[in-house]
Amino acid sequence: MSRSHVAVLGRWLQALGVATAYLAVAAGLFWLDLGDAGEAPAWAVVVVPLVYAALSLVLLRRASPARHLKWTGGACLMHVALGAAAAAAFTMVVDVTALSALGHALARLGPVPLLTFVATPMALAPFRGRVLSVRTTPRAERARAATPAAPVVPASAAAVAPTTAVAPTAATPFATSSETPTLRDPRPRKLIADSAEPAASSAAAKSPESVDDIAGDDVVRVRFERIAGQLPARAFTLPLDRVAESLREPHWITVPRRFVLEQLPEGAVQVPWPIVAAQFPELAFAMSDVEFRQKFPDLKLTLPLDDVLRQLPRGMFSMEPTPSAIAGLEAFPPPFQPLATPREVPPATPTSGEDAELPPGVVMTSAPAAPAPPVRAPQPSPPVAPPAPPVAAPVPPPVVTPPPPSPIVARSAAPAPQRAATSEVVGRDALMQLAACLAGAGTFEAWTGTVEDTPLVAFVEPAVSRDAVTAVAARVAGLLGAAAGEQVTVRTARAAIIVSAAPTPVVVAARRPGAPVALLEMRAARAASQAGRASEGAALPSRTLSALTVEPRVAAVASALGASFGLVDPAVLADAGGGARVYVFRESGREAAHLGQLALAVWEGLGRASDGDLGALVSVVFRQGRRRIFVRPVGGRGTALLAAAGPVARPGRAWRDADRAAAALETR
Amino acid sequence: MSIINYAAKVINFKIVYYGPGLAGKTANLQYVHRCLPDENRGNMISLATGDDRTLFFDFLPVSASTVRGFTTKFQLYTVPGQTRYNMTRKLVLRGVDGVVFVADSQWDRLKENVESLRNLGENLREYRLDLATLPYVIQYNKRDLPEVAPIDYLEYTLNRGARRVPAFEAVAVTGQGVFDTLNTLSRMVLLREFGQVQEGAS
Repeated sequence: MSRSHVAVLGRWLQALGVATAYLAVAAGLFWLDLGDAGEAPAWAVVVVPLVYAALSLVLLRRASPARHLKWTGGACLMHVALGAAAAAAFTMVVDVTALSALGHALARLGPVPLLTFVATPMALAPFRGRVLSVRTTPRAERARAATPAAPVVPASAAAVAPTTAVAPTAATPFATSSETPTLRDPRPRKLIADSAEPAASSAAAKSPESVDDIAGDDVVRVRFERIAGQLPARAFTLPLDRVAESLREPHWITVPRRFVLEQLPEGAVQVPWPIVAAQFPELAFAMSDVEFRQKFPDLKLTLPLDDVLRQLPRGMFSMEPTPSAIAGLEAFPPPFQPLATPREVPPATPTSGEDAELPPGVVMTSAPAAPAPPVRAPQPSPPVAPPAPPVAAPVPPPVVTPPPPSPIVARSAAPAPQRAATSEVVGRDALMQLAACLAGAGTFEAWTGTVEDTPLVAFVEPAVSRDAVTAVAARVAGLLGAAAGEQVTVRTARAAIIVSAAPTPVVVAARRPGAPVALLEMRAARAASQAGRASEGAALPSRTLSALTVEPRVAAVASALGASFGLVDPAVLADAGGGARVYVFRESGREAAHLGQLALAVWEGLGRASDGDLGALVSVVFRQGRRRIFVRPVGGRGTALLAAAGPVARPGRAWRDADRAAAALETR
Repeated sequence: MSIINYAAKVINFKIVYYGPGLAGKTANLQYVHRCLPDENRGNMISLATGDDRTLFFDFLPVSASTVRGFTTKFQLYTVPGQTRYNMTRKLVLRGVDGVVFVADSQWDRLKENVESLRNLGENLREYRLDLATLPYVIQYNKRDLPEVAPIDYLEYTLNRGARRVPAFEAVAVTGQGVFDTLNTLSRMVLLREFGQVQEGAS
């Protein structure tokens, strides 16, 4: 049975449960002979539609009048059906005529009509309006949408020549299903067969189908949250998170697999709106079908390919094995032999002077009061670059003021960051030297100041909220040092924030996705090393964590993480109040409690504070040499966190594995 | 097409780094420039906008080994990746002897990779060249980033033409894979020029 069928069955069972409870209570009231206790007036029957009409105005705000009418009509029908069922129950409990029982159920037995008013919306609730009508897409439109542009199918890979130097060591996110045959062509067999026919007949052979016509394993599922940002929020009556709950398969969008396969060679899968429209409840829309199509005629949803590929059979994209070398190539020795040590990049800025120019793309501001100097035009590189100068040891800037040690306090989310209107904590010259480390990595606004008693130097992309970034940075900067390493990278839905330990922590923030995070981490580390040696930091605040039993599924996650983190031992910790749970995966012999405390400190500093400017917290990665500590929230009820630590050779792969581990823990 | 100076006993080859914008073509050349001994490298010419996007092209002349008594020199070019500079890309491709296609491994850049590769094929056709015969290699850059596509999918989208070509994982800013890519392509160019029976390489 597919997931959608299970969901439908669940809704019906829920409604049936409400109706059963209603009948039991009503029959009980009737059996107790409470007729004298109160009799509803006759007009109680007449006002039923009015009550539901008023209720629809409350429940379906911003819906069109037609939808209000539909919902009201449906509720009235449900009201009558419940009343009739109650009357039937009355005749079984007490020997009365059917007409008398109906009169009692609808008016004469006072509490029962009131009970019906409550039970009706409760019985309808599981359907969230779907019981009344389903938004259907015109057949012709589905036909058009289900026939995408012909995919470009390169020639067969069988005629390959020589070699490939790539060792596909990256983790492949494909499903492990062995039932689906390996395909060399992205099109399923039916389409491959079609392609041998003339184009016209091939097109005619394709039946127009949306996901309505397909079920089970023929579809690809994508989390609604990952594509919600592409939908026009103003076209819906509900917030998009509530729309997610009302989908046919709550929180998931399904797309015919055939449709996905046809587009895979293009490097992107875009689904026209009509393909998925029927999965949205009609009542979620703030406009009619026609209006929607007129306003958004070319709406397409780009699916996240990592999610899509994960659901395709392993080996689907494996190419034919190739010889290890090109014949004859070995006769030519490698023409270029690089130096053992690359030359340093020449410094881009002068070291001092009030008139010194900033590196291209860096705009300087300072915290206190002085207005920001005008943005300087970026300096294009000269047409001919001079030869690289001799390597010079970097001179640490003397002006960076060592800050007081930052106490590690698990701050609550409630208080807003406090900004001290003090003077600059880093001089202009030193700031320029630090900014030079970021030359070529993007365009940043330089800033220096104190936030929540933490002095900071920040380089923030103009598109990112500086206040939000510095607030986050101030909260995590205190965790650096002996407790968690020399650098931390915070990823939120809309930004990547890198904080490097230094006497004055160096913060680099850029918009995400799209930011070259690895490059920014290197540059931030370089800047921090120029700023001097950081203090050791403070220990984490001690808190009592109790160890819970490690379930087999957690142990399975640990073994999956081993590919990136090495051998890790799982542990499950809960805080004293039992409100938070931390899944800890650490190297053998390491204490789990420290990681648990660190994860909770991160969560209390960042996770609970849902900052509107930066979006939800995605992950926090601490760096201690080659060791990485990944902390990320696990979805579901209550507070659940994942903390994984170990020596990591490939941070990108480790990040993905931690992401999958969190998903695996979430789904149970 | 190689240019041979018989008087000076020098053969010049032209290698073009092609790919979508921000894929790391200039980073490749910069790393090569930083790592080659002074006697093997010339001045790097680069004309970039304020945000370090290549405006016209980058150019780096380098010299390599001697083959059959001829000094081999390679002129390394990059093209501007941005879509609107197609005329520049066409000009840079004129007389090309080998191509490095630099692909961005990130998920959200895959479509640009495919479009750029298609654009490369179209531009080459104007010079009666073909990726099926021209020496070319693929470099999957930015492999250190967290949100990158797996290699087999990249191969599936970019390296399934009439022939499979060598492909390399790389992190151009740190130099990983940069010289593997360049050396392999250079050897393929030499092989094409001098044939399999090679004499006098030094």
